[in-house]
This record gives sequence, C-alpha cells and structure tokens, in this order.
Amino acid sequence: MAGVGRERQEQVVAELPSSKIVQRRAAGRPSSINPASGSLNAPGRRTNPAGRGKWYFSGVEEKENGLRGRKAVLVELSGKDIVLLLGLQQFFPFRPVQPTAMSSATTAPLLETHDLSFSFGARPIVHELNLRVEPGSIYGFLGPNGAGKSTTMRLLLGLLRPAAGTVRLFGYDLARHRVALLGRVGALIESPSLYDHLTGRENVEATRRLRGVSAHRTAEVLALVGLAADAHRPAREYSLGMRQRLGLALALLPDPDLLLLDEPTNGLDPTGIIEMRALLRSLGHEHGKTILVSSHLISEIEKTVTHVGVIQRGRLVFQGSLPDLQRLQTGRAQLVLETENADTCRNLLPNLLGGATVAGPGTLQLPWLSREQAAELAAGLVAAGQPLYGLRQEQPTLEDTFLHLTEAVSE
Amino acid sequence: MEFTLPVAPGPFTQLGRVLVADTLKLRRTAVLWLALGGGALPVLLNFLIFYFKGQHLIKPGQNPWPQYVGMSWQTASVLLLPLFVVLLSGLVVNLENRGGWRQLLAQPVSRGAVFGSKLLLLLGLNALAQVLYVLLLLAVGVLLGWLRPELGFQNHSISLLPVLRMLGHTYVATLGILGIQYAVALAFRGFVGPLTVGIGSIVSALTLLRWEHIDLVPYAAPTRVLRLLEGNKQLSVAAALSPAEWYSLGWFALAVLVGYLLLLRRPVTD
Repeated sequence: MAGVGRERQEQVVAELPSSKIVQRRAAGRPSSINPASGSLNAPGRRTNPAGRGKWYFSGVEEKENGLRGRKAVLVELSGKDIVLLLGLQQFFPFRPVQPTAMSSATTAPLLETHDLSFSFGARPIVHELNLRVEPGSIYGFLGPNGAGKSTTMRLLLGLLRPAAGTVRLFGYDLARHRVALLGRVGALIESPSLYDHLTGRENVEATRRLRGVSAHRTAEVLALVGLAADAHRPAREYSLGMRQRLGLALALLPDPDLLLLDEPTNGLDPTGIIEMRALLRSLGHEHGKTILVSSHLISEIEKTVTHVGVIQRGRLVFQGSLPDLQRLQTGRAQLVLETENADTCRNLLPNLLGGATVAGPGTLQLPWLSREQAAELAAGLVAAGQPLYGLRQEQPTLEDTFLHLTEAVSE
Repeated sequence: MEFTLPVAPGPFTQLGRVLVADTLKLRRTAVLWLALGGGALPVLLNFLIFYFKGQHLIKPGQNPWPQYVGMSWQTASVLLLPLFVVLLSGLVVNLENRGGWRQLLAQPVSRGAVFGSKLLLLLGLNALAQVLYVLLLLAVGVLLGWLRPELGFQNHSISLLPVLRMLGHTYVATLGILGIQYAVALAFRGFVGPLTVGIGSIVSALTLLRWEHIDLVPYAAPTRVLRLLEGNKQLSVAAALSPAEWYSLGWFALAVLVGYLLLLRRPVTD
C-alpha cells in the first residue's frame, strides 16, 4: 500500500508557517471517499473539491517537538480510494493532536451535515459543508459577513432545500423528519421576526400555542431573558436589544436540546453582550443544552464556546475544539525586537535577521523558532554594538488566527 | 450517543395549533376590523338612500324588502365584496411578510398546516364578514321600519330563506377570488403585488361583464350571482348553483393547489 503512495508525484504547492502543503497527483477517475473521518484533529478530513476530480485532504502533522502545524494535501483520487487513503496515512501519519470530545469517533454528533451545498441560481453559497456538533458543546460558527453562515442556519432548519448533501439532527435525516426533529430545536435566525402589533407576551404566546408548549413556559422564558416587566408593551416599542432577547425567549420556549442562534448579540450593547454570553454559558454548561451560535466576531464568542467552525466563502476552513484553534496559533508566534535602528541591525546580522520584517524604525519582527534563537539574537546584537531595548515573543490573538484562516481562502 | 426520534404531532393537531396561533395574531390588526366592519359600508349607504329617498323607490303598499335587499346586495357584490376579499387575503398573508415566514416555517409544523391554517382563517373571516353583513342588512331594514314606517318594512316579512340562499351563493362566488388572491399573495411576498393583481382583475372583470364567457372569470362571479335574486313582490332565490359558482369553485380548487405548492417549495430567504 505504501507503494501506491510512492508512485505518485509529490510537489510543494504552498507553505504554511510551519509546514508545507504537498500536492499529490494521480491520474484516474474521481470518486468519493469515506466521509466518516473526523475533523482537523481526527485522522484526516476531506474538505473541499477544488474542481472536478480533485479532492483536498487535510490533517495535522505531529513533529518530534510537539505539534508544529497543519499539513494539507491535495489529492486527485484514483478509483482505489481506500488504498490511496491507507497509503497516504502511511506517509503522513495524521494523528489526533490530543483527544477531545470532537474527535471521539464513537460519539454520535447532535448535529451533522454531510457535504451540504446550496446555491442561489448559479452562485454557490455553501459548498460541501461537513459540520459536526457534539452533544453538550457550544459551537461557535464563525465567518465574515456573507460567508454563508445564515444560509447554513437556514439549511439546518429546513428553511432552504440543499442542492446536495444532508443535514442530520439527533442522528436523523432532517429532510425526512423535519417536524419531529424541530420539536427539540429552538432557533433565532438573524434579527428576530416579531409581530409588531402584538405585545411581547402575545408574541411568545403565539409561538407557544403553535408548538403546543405548556402555558407556564411563557412567563418562564420572559423572566429568563429579563423581559417580564416589559411583556405588556407592544413589540414595536422594543429596542433592538429587547427584540433580540424576545427572539431568544421564543427560541427557548420549548426547552430545546439544540439551540441554533444566528448572531444573537447583534444590536446588543456591551452589557447586553455580556449578559447574552452568561446566558449561553449557563444554558450550555448548567442546563446541558447544545448550542450552535454564529458570529462574525471571534472576540464575541471565544469566551463562551467550546468548539469552533470557521466558514469562508461557503467552505469550512477550520473545525475543532477551542484549544485546537489556539494550537494553530502556536506556529504563528512572532519574535519582536526593539532596537535603535532596525535597518542597521538587519544589515549587520544578515544571518540572524535576514528573514525579519521592519515593523517600525526601531522594531523588527521575525517568526519565533525557539528560546535559543532569542538568546542567539540578543548575543548577536550586543556583539554588533547595537542597543537592545526589548525582546519578546508575541502570540497572535484568536482574532488574528481567525483572520488568517479566512484570508488564506480568499487569496 | 443514541437519540430516539421525537414524536411529531399529528397533521390535524399541527393544523389546530397553527390556527390557534394565527387567530391570536389577528389581535389589533386591520384584517380583523376589515372583516368585522367590511359589511357595514353597503348597508350604511343603502340605509341613507332609503331613509332620505325611500319614498321615491317604494310605491305605497309595496313590499320594500326585495328592493332594499337587492339594492344593498348590488352595492356590496359588484365592487366592494371582490375588493374586500382582495384586501383580506393580502392582509392576512402580509402579517407574516416582515420576517414571520422564517419564524413560522422553522417551527415544528408542516408547511401544509401553515398553508391550511391561513386558508381556513381566510374562509372563516370571509364567512364572518358576509354573515355580519346579512345580519346588519336585516337589522337596518327593521330599523327603517321604525324610523320610516311609511316605507312599510314592518308590514312585510323578511323572507329569510332567500336571503340565506343568496348569502350561500355569494360566498361560493367569492371563493374563486379568495383562492387566487391567496396564492398570489403567497407568490408576491408583499402587499402591493397582490393588491395590484386584485384591482386589475376586478376592473377587467367588470369591463368584460357582457362577454359571453364571463362566467369563467372568477372576479365577476359575485356580480353574476346577482341574477339569482328575483321577485318584486316577494324575494326568491334559486337553490341550485349557477355556472359562475361552479367555475368559482374550480378556480378555488386550482388556486389552492398552486398556492400550496408555492409555499411547499418556497425557499425562505427573507
């Protein structure tokens, strides 16, 4: 089986900060591969076809000194998919970085999409999305505006019919059991759609009666979102934040096992955002709800979520636990050096600072390699008679990582 | 983790729940006022005519009821009733047009139940408005008997059966318009579209009244059934459905089918 791999041509097509993207080519008929493989930290994951007959295959490579980065392999599959996959695994030992809830193959996900695709006319919006949301997790569904988050949410609720692929909720096909499955789902899609001529309480009542939920829930959910005192007012008098909270009350009405919240912090003031976060955490951690919450700002949800999926131009560019996402940053740490004259230093120490970028008149920045690199650099600068005002390691924020992930695809 | 498939409520339970919710949504809406008060205008107009000019319309000793009922019905059926149905269906559907669809269709109820509930609501409101119209018409007739005894309303029986038959005929005649306007409202996702189609169709139907195949045009059906209203001395209305009513029922069935398919296949993007 290793022979199958060896016969293929290997070509470096791109470099990530700490590893290479290798392209492997093999002639033959394109066909599908086993989709059961997991997410980024699972043995391997099929993501997106680049075109007809080409399939991306990405995973994580573990090096001697721990995780160094991510390796992605573009494969054009022959008919012998399984053989090729096994061959690939021998060459690239994709192993779980650290077992997490997401990587457990035995756990059935509460929400799962398989190659979910959708387009408006000829314009593709969602492309072969393979989401996996485990029970009890708070899954942050991230992406810039227009990346396909809301469309995906609508597909998950059966509001739109997928062009291809399936949605499974609680292990069952949504297309076949929509009514039964949605009985356990609460949703807030974009700005909540309220009946402005009705009061807050009447809005909740309309949905409560429609869902056949017991009468006491109306007062409960209104109190939960802090609208009990304003429940008698018509919804048209509500502020954006109050509308958002009333929308959440509607979603919470059936005491759902799965909550789908599309940008729930939209229009909320800082206090409202903090309250919403606390509410989501309490719902997830204390009440055991599984929550899929979308946002275009990672900073808004990073304190709340346990798992993250990043979507860009309708494609899932990352999926894994929050620690997985944080680990992605490790390979992107920078060494920042403060001196008198950045250019002079770079000219004096071409071996050490050849790859550095000048971030300011006295600031140089270069990829962090090791502690030894920092020591060597300090010694080099002193030996060259240059002042060293500061030397520090800078970790990219999650926001940087998110931007990096989303920019990588748009390039 | 293994999950058990939740049990979906039965189709009639779903329909019942949506209908209860839809009825609740009518509170403080123009729809409700339209249905409750829509029948008042033709009655009020004819009340004024008979109150002030009744002596020119009714010969002394003549039974005023056939004339009174006929004139009122004519005022109501030719223009007001089709317009009422157009407004009613447009407004009922428009209640969901500000994002309500995505909220409604993401609930654990079938689209069939959502469609059926609004259809039943429209049929109910249409019936309510027409029944209220008849009650008001008869009440005002009695009132005219008190206020203008010389017209003789109090001296003659109302003859309820022909009035009820006429109510039935008119109701059936409006079903074609109701079905079509409901489907059009579902297709347009706004209020102006179905209103334009409705008014355009009513005007066209009234222009084409002398066409030999006018019975085919549902918007003319309420006018066409006016011919069933007969009798100078005593009101009489035939029980059998007229061709215009049969066509109206046909249009209703077709439009309901089209409307259902429209909602069933509708991608919810708003």
